[in-house]
Amino acid sequence: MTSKTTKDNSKEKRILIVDDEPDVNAVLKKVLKQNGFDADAYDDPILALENFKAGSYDLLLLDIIMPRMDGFHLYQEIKKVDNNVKVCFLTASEMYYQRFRKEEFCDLDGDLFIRKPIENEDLVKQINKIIDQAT
Amino acid sequence: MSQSQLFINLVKSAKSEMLLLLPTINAFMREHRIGVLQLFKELSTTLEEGRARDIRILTPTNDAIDKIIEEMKITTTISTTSVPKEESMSPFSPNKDNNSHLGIRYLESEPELNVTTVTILVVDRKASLVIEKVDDSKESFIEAVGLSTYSTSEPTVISYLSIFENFWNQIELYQQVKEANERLTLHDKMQQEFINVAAHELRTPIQPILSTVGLIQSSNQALIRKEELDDSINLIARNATRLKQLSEDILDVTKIESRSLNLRKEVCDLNDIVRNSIDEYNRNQVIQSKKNIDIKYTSHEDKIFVEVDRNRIAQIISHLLSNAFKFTKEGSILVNVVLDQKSKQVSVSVKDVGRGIEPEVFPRLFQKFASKSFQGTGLGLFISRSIIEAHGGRIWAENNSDGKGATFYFTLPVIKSLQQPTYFM
Repeated sequence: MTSKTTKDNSKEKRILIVDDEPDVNAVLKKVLKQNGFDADAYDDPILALENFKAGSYDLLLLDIIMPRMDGFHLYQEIKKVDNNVKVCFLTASEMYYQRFRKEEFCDLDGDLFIRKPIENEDLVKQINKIIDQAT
Repeated sequence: MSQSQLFINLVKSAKSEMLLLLPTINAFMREHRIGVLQLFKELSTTLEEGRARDIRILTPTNDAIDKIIEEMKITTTISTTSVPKEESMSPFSPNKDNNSHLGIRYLESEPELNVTTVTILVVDRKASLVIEKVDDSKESFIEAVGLSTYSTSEPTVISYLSIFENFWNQIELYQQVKEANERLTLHDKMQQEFINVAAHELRTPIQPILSTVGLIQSSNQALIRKEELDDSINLIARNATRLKQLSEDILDVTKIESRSLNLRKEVCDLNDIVRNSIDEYNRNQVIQSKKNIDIKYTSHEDKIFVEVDRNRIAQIISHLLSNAFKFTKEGSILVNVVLDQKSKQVSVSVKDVGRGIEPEVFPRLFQKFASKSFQGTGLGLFISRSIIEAHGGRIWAENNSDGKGATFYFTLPVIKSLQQPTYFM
């Protein structure tokens, strides 16, 4: 069993997943919960944005290719609401990440993306790494 | 007689054909100044002893020359379509039809020094005038030109003729190569894009499978509840099926694009294919669980014979049905088979009461990866269109006029139908 991440922050880290594939959402939510996170998921980016409140999450995992609003525009909108929230793109295509990044979001620092598909254990490891990074 | 006078006289004497090669931009401008182009234009619009003249000019070009030619409305025959190949290449019948023709092709660059730095005029394949230039920078004809060689000797004239024809044809070949290269580059780019999108689509369903298996492996399996296990199995099955469909669709697309999609056509009854597809669809478990949707089928003919690849047509019908199901929450899906005896076409329509087609998707509906819908591959309609068109039919879609849902139609040519004794082939 994947080791529970007890970073001794007493409080569960809260993660929001936005991916247009309901199956991906459902299963990642399960994985995160099993590993001691508190996770919410939306398959509609617009709905995710409408319900988003500043300070309510430690990390956002955003898919890139989504109907109605792609992950990068969602990122921009969410940053307007909460400029401090950490965001990581969860994408099945690194190419999309690089392309969008080049075209629209040069200010993104670091390679904040996780490529799907990813093993549960690796996903948890990467998430912990991002959350633990100093803000 | 001055060189320019000789030049003009020679041009005026042309009965059937006149070829002029100008080596430089300035050479063109000088000829233009002494009125040669205007003369050519006139000659090309008048008949000589009832016969039309074929007049062709080879020249480098720039904006100024483009403008002159534009104003004189001279045909530029750069593309292969404007002058039939046989006509321009045939050595002994320069002008078959009675339409005079004044054509211009552009030399991509000024000819290399060792090929020609001379102006070449060939008239009626009987006389040639070759004018050397001593100072290309001079604006006037007289100042710029040097030694001229006038000849009516056949070997000389034919040699210059062949120089002209070689340049003329070379431009056409160059253009063809350039166009072919552009097409290849574009195709390459589209192919790369397809691979990128396909890779993305293939990776996506792997995540739920991988994560679910991981979850099961990492938990105490004896403690997993039955419902939870069923959910997991269904989720794995659903995504595995999607991967299977995707891999088949990608293979189909590859076949379509390399033109190696083979159809095994046979004469069969379209109603039979439609009925079988619906029956098969009704047996599908997922469909059975959606009890609030039913399929209604109507056809006015007993048998409608078409020559088709039975499996491929069934594939399209089942794809249209699955689309209709996907977007319908409840109600009836209507499948209608209508024979149009006049056009000898049969149309099959699948009408749903779903959410309809979004306007922004409409123009790209039958393209690859046009829509990204849950459980869809985004390739089904592209494949359907290719298959239907390969059968000589058409496929299209409309949003229903009552604002509820959409209808997909496809047509196929009919061989014959039964139950209508008045209808014969």
